[in-house]
Amino acid sequence: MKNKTFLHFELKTQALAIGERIKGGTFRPCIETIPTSTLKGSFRDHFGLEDVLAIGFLREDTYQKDIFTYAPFDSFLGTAKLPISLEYLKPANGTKAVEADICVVKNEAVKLPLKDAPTEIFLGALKSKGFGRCELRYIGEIKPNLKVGYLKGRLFEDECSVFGIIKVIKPCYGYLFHPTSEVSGVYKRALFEGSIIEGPDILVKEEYKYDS
Amino acid sequence: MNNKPFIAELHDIGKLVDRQALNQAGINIKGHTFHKFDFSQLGISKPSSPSWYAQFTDEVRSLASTKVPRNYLADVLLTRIADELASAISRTWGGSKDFQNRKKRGEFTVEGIYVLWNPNYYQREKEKGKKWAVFSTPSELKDMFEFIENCGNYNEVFKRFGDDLKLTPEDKSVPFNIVSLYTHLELTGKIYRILKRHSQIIEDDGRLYLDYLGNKIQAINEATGGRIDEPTQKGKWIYRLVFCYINFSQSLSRLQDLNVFRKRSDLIKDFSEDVDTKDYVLFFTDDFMCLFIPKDNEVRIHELLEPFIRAGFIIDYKEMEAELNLLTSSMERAYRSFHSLLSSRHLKLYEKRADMGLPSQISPPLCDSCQMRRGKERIKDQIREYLCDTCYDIRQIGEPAREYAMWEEKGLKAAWMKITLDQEQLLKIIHELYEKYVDSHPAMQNVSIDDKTGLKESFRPLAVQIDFVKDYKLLLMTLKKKIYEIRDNKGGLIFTEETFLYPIENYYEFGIFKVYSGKDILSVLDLFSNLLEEYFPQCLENSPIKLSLSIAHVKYPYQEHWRFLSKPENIINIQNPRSSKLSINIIQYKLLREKIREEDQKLSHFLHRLADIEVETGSNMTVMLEILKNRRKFPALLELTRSSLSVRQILDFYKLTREVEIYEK
Repeated sequence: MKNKTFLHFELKTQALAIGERIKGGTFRPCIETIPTSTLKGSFRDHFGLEDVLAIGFLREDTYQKDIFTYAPFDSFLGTAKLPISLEYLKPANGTKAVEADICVVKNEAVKLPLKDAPTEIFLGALKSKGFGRCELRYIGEIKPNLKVGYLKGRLFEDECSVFGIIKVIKPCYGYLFHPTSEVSGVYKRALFEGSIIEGPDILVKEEYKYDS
Repeated sequence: MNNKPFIAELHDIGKLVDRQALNQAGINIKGHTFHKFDFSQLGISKPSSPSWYAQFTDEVRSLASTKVPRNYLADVLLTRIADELASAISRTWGGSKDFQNRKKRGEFTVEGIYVLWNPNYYQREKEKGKKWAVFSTPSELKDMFEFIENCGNYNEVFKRFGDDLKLTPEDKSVPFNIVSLYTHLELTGKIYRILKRHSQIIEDDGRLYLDYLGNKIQAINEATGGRIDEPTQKGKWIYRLVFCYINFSQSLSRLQDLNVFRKRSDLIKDFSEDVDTKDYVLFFTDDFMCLFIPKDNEVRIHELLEPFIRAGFIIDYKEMEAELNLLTSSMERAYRSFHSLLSSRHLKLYEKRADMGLPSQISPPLCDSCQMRRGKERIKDQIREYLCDTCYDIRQIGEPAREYAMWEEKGLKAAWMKITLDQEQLLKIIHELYEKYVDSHPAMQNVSIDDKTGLKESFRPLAVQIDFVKDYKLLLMTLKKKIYEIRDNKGGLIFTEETFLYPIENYYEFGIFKVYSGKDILSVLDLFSNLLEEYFPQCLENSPIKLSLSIAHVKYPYQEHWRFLSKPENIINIQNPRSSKLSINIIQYKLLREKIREEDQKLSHFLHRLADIEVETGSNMTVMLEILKNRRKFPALLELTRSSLSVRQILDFYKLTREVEIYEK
């Protein structure tokens, strides 16, 4: 199989909250990776690109977790709901921004505006409170080699081949939200961190050296 | 011949005989087996039970042997195979003739077991009046033969001789004396029964064979194959050794979610006690099982572990599938060695996952807790949550740590405590300790480098690992007991069952306690470090056993505590979220304890100042300069930084343990 080509971007932000489900009605933890579903929505909103496939990996040591507490407003009842503690990522001590690498699959759908850098995009939750404002800067094209190892991001299972994954040796499944319209969607099965794959080395954290 | 069962565990009962004492009493005994023993010396006849033939284990290499009645040949042969797999150093290690002869002459024989992580264990037990030998007089020896004759169940062996088996090594020579006979027999018995369950005796043309999955064998080597460095000596019988990590996807958002630990412990206990599955389990902890099972077409792992999968657990497992002689718990090492040789033999290593089949898509809502199944609306205390049936059922099991929810003293902090055993690190440490033992024991000084290398390469850590896990469980139980015995300066108890909770019954890795001051934290850390020193003195700098404490106010999100507790970096790990985080080993802890004394007021003020400087400048360098400037006044700090402790670690230790007592108990 021909190696895939990716467009490599650098992302910087001051506060990022890509959340899981709210736990116990009061706490919303955040994840430490940028799934394809999050980037897909963002690129659609900002660039009007429908079929952009991208995945993001936060750079270690550039971020730390913190908690932000707020009371969501119930517009139906006109009252504040129970306060929610939202976990988010902020720059680690001694760093200026949370940094991530974004890899976009190069295809016909990816048009020039994406490369016009730097560009501002928004990712994740609580955008109205200033979270998720990100600077996106194009770095260049990359043509990664194939490698067998542990996946370091999250992507829908049916996106594997588009990302150049030729074999899933050990799937670690989870679910990502997939919008089917502006107001609805479904949770689709996805490969999560720790899955063992054979695919582009940019997706792989550590090599897997045993049998498949 | 009586109608008792064949008990493989009895093949080594002779190792409990004190030959020297009996020889002095005029009884002539050679070796640890009694198949050639002259029974007239005791005035009795030899036993007639099937188990008697276990004494011939070292004599039978094939089903063509005439030394044992035909109907027990298979049992004896399978015991022999199991005995090899259960030994710490492969019996096929092939050392030099010189070494073998010296070993036979007893040049390496020493008394008692050598515990790699606790070398003085045997000496201490001996001083307490315990002994390894059970049979030291002619009358006791008669008892042994009577036991062989009448023993009806392998449990009787452990019940009667348990304490002695723990002090007796499987092999009395250095460096083979590192596994207790107790564990060796347990392991041999389990492996024997599994081999027996999955093979059939068949007779073909007047000859006996054992058949496993269509692979007929007559001799041991046909089944097991040769050593790893014999690339053409194939073995026909392929089995699997599986390390199962039993994980869960639930997030701990409510106290009832802690029931997941109880569920897991209960399942592991049931599985390891069930008559159909217990022999597959070589050992287990609260989140881990080591299984010995046949190939997938004989026993499917998803079916075997179905109770766990049905309960929503995810089993990440490492599976080694290999010819019996290649099977070892040091899987990665064996895999690397195997692939460095051009071998046509069978050794595979996989990482796999067994979980409940997950649908390709789920319509909202997704379960808030596991995020793996569809949730249903559940409302409790006016809070609406979406939970799947599995997560909901777990919450319904009970109300663990109910007292914790009542801890409402203003400003009170609580520490979540988790003790962890890292199985991968354990294997590495066992290898290191064994290699150090081979290199440094005085008896090994005149052994050739080739023999030492061979001994190291032939090491099978499985049985040693099991002994380690037993000591680990002992440490956990002792810690739980002693927590409630710690006293303060005035003689009062620091913790009670109300202030130090073990929320899950019989799960001693996890506790929650009230933190009134840094003294409470220090008393738990002191107890842990003292127990580690008592049970694992060789693991004070590098240990697979780790303790983590996450200290925060009572309402702090439980899953954030858990996230920290489940990823320990060093032996002692403490965090106070958004304030301090510290990971140190026991040597560093003891040094900090010694040098940073709470009563040293001046040092205390200086550390306060350093902490302030650090906050104001955000610079470690400024803090370091301050320490150097004051080195005459506070030499202890300079000493600490020279003992590979960073300024940040010293400060964090101080911050985490300095808190003055502000609450009345």
